[in-house]
Parts: sequence; structure tokens; C-alpha cells
Amino acid sequence: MTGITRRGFAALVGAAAALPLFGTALASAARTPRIVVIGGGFAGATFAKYLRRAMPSARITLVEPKKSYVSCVYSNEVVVGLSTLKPLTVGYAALAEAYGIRHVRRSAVAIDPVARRVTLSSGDKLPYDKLVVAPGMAYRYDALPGWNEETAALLPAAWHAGPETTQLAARLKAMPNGGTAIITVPPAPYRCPPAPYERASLFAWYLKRNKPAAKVLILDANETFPKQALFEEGWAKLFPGMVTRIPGSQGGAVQSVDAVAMRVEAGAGSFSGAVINVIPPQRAGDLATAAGLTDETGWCPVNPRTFASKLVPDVYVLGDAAASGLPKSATSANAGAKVAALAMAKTLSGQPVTDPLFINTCYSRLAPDYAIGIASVFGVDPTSGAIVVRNTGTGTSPLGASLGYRKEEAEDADKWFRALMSDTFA
Amino acid sequence: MRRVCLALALGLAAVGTATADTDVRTLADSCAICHGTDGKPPRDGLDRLAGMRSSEFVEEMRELRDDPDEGRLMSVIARGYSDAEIRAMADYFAKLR
Repeated sequence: MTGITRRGFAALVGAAAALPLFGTALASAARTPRIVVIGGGFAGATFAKYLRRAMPSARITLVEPKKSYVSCVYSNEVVVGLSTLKPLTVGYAALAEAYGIRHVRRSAVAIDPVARRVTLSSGDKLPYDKLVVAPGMAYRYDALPGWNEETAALLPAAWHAGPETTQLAARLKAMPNGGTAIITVPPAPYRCPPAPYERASLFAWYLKRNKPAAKVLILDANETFPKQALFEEGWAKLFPGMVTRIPGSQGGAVQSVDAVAMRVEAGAGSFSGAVINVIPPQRAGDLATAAGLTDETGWCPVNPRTFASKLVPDVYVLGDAAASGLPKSATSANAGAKVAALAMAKTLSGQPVTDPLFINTCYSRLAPDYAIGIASVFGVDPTSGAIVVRNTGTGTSPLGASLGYRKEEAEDADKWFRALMSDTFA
Repeated sequence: MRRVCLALALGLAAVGTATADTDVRTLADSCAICHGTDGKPPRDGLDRLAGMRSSEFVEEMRELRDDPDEGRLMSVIARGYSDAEIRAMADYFAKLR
């Protein structure tokens, strides 16, 4: 466990509470603002922890019905049997014990932005001074004919880690030697832009060993994708002829799916799949939509310096649900949450908000000892107010690197994942 | 002193020193996704930054930035910070234990 210990936390709160400098109600509200955080994924958990670090006196409540969180990061490894869900699963005990975060195991069902109250699934109402909404993304069950709540079990998305991951793993395992595993990629933006291609890579790695006559087909609504040259280099080197991708311009966009016939209709033709992994079109999580935080894109417009909603006062939206200009990734969720936490602490104490900085880092594994990475350092352009790369701080792993180099990157990836999990949840 | 008291009274933790317009905590906290909270990585992790000598931190970052073959993805990330920001982070991490 890192950061503020339980004893240290109590001492800090004690110090703040014991100072008798202000007796007014105003000072009291500034001292103990009520902060409610909805959603305990990478964004919500990081925010709660880092707000505590910046503001020892805040009353921070995390509203999250689940007892533990299952990371989507590294869940492609689980699909092909390289890992299990266990190391991807983390509880909220450290946030509660080391950082004094109250965990309320309920769903948030409604927000009243005028009375500033959250209604919980129990019917209880939770008052707030500032509300942070981090519900992640939700599948759009209405966007792809043939893919809905009923057929999703037959055509698993596995874009939320957990039971869906296990379902997809079972389907891959049951696949005959000789069929095609189809992955459909929705139009951007969607959660974790390189992840469909990592999944295709690991499918190929698994099939090459277990069902060598099988193939992988990516039907892609998009034209290009992150780390594309590196992925394509890896596919040619590791699994020659096994991975085919049809981009949007060549009819890769899926038009409908048939879970009974196990067929996919796309502009390029009709395809039969032994496994069909539909990565569905996405939007901000349900609560964000219900609370009027989304615009016509289905995502939540925010100010990238503070993550304040542009639509609802005193509400902040973090992580995948936010249209901040950052990629929809775990590291961006973590980075944005830290910026938002410091900005909120400064705002509540009457200090000016300082300029943000974010790192996005993402590794993709193509095989156990073969990983590639991408990283960017972002700031906010003072003129446009948009997220921009700082200096020349963006790039990927080099093309044409040795297998030894890719192995070192696979080791870097493991270290990155462990640090990310502990920085977020411990 | 009065400022410090005010910050404490308002419930703020230690106030970070700003470099240009970015708080040093924002700079340093950005490292945590790979190097752990406060630069203290989990076991078998990447380099520990907490307690690193300031001059060593600055030298490492400059080498990473100027030689793309030096540190894999870290060479990309090092290019995102100014000299003044690197020095501010170096001083910040040197004081952490």
C-alpha cells in the first residue's frame, strides 16, 4: 500500500478540523465539502484517491454497486488463456482504509442538479456539493441490427471484463480447426482504440498453436488505427496469412449480424464465423445519458482543464464517458482524474486552477513475449482550449525492432499494468 | 506562514510549487501510472523515483529525451516536458522518501 496511511489520514483530518481559524458556515462548507463520486473504475477510483491527497478534509463518497472491479486492461490475455480474471480483480478496501473513502454499494439511479442530490437504488438520497460521474461506456444495443440484449450472449462483446470475457474464451476454445474468428470494430470513438487489434493478434497466437487451420478476420468501420504499422508488422512476422482486415473504405463496416446463422453482413460481403466477437457501438454510461450530461454524440462534453460538464453545473464527468479530447483508455482515465481532483481542490479553496498535463500510455501484446507501445504527453492549448500534444511528446515503439526488444516491451507492459492498478486502487 | 495556515484551514494539503502554469504535483503525479504513486513502484516495477538524487533525475531525463534508443517508450514521454519542468520534478521526487 502506498500514499497516506490510515493513521496519517486521521492525523491530517484532525489537523484540519482542529484549526479554529474560521467559525463561519462558509468556512465550514469549504473545509468539509461533500464530494460524491459515481463509478469505481479507473477514473472514479483515481479521482477519489487523488482528491483525498489534495484535500484531506473532504467528505468523499464512492457510489459503486460492485464489491470489486475487473480491469479491461489485460483482459484480452484472459480470453486466450494467458491469464485469469483474478489478477485483474481489485476490491475497494484500500481506498476505504488508507484514504477514508466511504464506499456505498448501491447504484445511482438519478441526479437532481438543482437540489444537488443523487438518488440511489435503495431510494436513499445522497446530498453533494460537487458530483463526479464516471460511469464508463455502455453498449448501444440499438445500433447494429441483429445484436441486442438477447443475442449478445451468442455474439459476446467482452468489452466489459468479467463474465463476457469468460464467454468469449469458451467460444474460442470450442471453435473447430478451420473456421474463421470474426471481430467487428465499431466506428470511433469507442473504449480503448488499439484493443480490437490486440485481441485479433492474441486470437491468432492462440489459434496458431491450437487450431492452425483457422483464420482471424477483422471487419472494421474505421480506415486506420493506432500502432497500425506495428500491428501489421507483427502479424506478418508472427502469424503470416492468418489475420485479414477489411477497412471501412473497402466495406469493412458491419451492417447486420445473425446470431443463429452465425453470419455477418458488411459492405464487402457476407461472412460466416465460427466465433463472432461483436465489439458494439458505444456511448456514455446509462446514468450520464439519463442525467442529461450527454450531447448528440452520446458522450459528455467537458472542460478539459477541470472536467466540469458543459451541460450541468457542479457535475464533473471523467473517464470513457467524457468527450474531453483524451483517448478512451485506462491511463487517460487515471490521468484526467488526477487533473480533475487537483482542480477541484483548488477551486474549493479559492485558488486558481493550474494548467493540466496528461500522459496516455498503452501497451498491446501480440504474443506472450511480444508487445508494442504508444505514449503521448498532452496539455491544453491556451487559445483553442483543446487537448494537444506537448512539445514532441508522442510516439510509438520503433518499427523493425528485434524480438528481444519486443520482449523487453512485454516486460515493461507487465510493470506498467501493476503500477497502474496500484496507483488507481491502492 | 500565513499562507500555509490558510491552506491548512481550507483543508488543502501542502501547496505545490508551480513551474510556469502547471503545478509540480500535476507533473509528478503523471509519472505514477508507470512508476507508482509518489514515485514508489510496486514490487518488480520500473525505476523508483522517490528519493532519487535531483541531478540523477535531470541527467536521466535528458539522456532519454535526446537518445531515442535509450529508454523505449520513456524516450517518447521525456520529450513532453520542458527543462524547467524536469528540474521541478527532480526536486520534488528527491524530497520524497
